[in-house]
Amino acid sequence: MMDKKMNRRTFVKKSAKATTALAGLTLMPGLLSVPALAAEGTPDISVVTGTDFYKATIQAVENLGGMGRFVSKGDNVGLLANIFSKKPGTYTRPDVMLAVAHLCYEAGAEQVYCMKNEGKRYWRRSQVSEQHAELIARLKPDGSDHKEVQIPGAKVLKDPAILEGTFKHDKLISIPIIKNHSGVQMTCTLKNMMGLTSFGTNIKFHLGEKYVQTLVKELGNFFSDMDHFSQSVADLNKVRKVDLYVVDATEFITTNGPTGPGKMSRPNQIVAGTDPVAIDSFCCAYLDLEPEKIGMIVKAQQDGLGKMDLTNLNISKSTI
Amino acid sequence: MAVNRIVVLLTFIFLFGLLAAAQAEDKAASGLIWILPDAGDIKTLKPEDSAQQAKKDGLYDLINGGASVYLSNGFKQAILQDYRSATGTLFNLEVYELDSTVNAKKVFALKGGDSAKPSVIGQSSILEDYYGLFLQGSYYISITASETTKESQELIKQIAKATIKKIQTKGPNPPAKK
Repeated sequence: MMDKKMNRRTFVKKSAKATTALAGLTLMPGLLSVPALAAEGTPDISVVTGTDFYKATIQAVENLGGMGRFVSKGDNVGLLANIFSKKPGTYTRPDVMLAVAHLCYEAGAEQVYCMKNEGKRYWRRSQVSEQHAELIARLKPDGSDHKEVQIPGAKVLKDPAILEGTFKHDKLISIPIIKNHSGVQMTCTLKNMMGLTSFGTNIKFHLGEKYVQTLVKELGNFFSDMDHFSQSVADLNKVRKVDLYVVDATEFITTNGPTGPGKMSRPNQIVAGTDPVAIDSFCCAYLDLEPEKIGMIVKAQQDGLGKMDLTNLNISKSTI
Repeated sequence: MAVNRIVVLLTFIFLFGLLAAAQAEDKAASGLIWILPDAGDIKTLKPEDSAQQAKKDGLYDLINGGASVYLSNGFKQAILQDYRSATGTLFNLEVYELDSTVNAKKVFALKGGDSAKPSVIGQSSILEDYYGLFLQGSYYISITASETTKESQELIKQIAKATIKKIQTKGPNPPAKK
C-alpha cells in the first residue's frame, strides 16, 4: 500500500509540469478530452459494484489511480452533482458526493465547493450523512452568480449564463446520476453540465434563437429541436475541463425522466473516468440505448470531446 | 328600527366581505400550504423541513430540467414537502396546480403514461411499488417513498387521501354542502 502511495506521489510530481502546460490550453475544444496523465495500466473507466455506495465510490476513484491524480494540495474544488430532483432514482446519492468530497480533502484540497446546494434537505436523504457531519460542515456552497460567457468553439450556444464559480475553482468534478430523460433519452456526464447554467440559458438549449422571439408560445414544443439541444450540450462541455467524472449508477429511473417517478433499475454501480463521451457511451447500456443514436454523444465526439468507441478502452470492473 | 336593522345587516355584510377578502389574501400569500395534510392527519408521519414552493419560472430553481413538462402545460404553482415515517422511510409529496383540469389531465397522462385507472383515491391514480400519482381537478399529485414496503405503500395512499380531501374541501369551487 505504501509503495502504491509513493508511486502515485512520484507520478504526480513528474506529471505536474506536463499538466501545467496543458492547463493553458484547456479552453481549446480539441484538447478538452485530454485526461489527467495516468500511470500505465490505469483503466480508462472504472466500474465498481457494491451496496455500500460510499465505499464503492472510493474504490472507483482508487482504481483510476486515486484522487491525487486529479486534485493537488491547496486546490479549490467544485463538485457538480445532480441534487434537485427529490424522488428516488433521480438524484446523485449523498453517499457518492460525500465519498468524492472526502477524497478531495484527503488529497489536500484547500476547500471543496458544492456547485449546487440544498443544504440539509439534500444530505438528509442518506443515513450515511449523519456519520459524515464534520465533512458536510467543511463543504461550502459555491454561491456564485451566473455570468454570460462566450465559449470558444461553440457552434450554437451563444452567450450562455454560467455560474462564475465554474471558472474560479482549480478543479471541477462532475458527479451525475445516469437516468432516463424524456427529451434526450438520457442524462449523464455531458448533460450534467447544464447544472452550471441559468434557467434562461436552459430555455435556449430547448428553443435556440426562437427564445428571443416567443418564449411562452414555444414552450409547448420544448423538445422540438433535439439537434439544437444536442449541439448546445456539446458546446457547453467546451466551457472548461472537467477533471473527473463519477457517475451514480446505483439506482435510477429508466422511464419518465428526468424527475420521475418511473420504473427503477438498481445495478448498484459507480462509474468513474475522465472522458465524458466514453462514459456516456458506456452508460447507454444501463438504459438499453445505443450511443450512436444519442445526438449529444455523437456531436460531442465530432467536436473532439472524447471517444465513443469503447473497444480499445481499458474498462476495469470490480465488486466490493 | 328598520333603519337600524339595515345598518346592522350592511355592517355585517361589510365585515364578512372584509374577512373573506383577508382570508383569500392569506391563502394567496401562503400559496399551496393549505393543501398539505394537517399535523396528526397521518400519525406516523412527521414533516421533514419546511415545505418548498414555486410559481412560474421559479419551478426551475426547485426541480431543474423536470420543470419543462409543467411550464409547457399551464403551470401555476407547486408545493413540495418531505415526510419521515417512524421507521425512517422518507416520503416526498409534490402537488402541482395547473391552469385548468385539461392541462392537469395532460400532465398526469404525460407522467403516468396510459396505465391510469379509475380510482377511489382522486379522479385517476396510478399506484406502483414505491410511488403513487393522482389527479384531482386542476392538481397533479406525486408521492414517492424511499423504501418499498407494505407500510410505505399504505402511507402513500393515506397521504394521497389526506391531500385530496383538502382539495375537495378547501380548494377552488368546493362542492356545495348538502
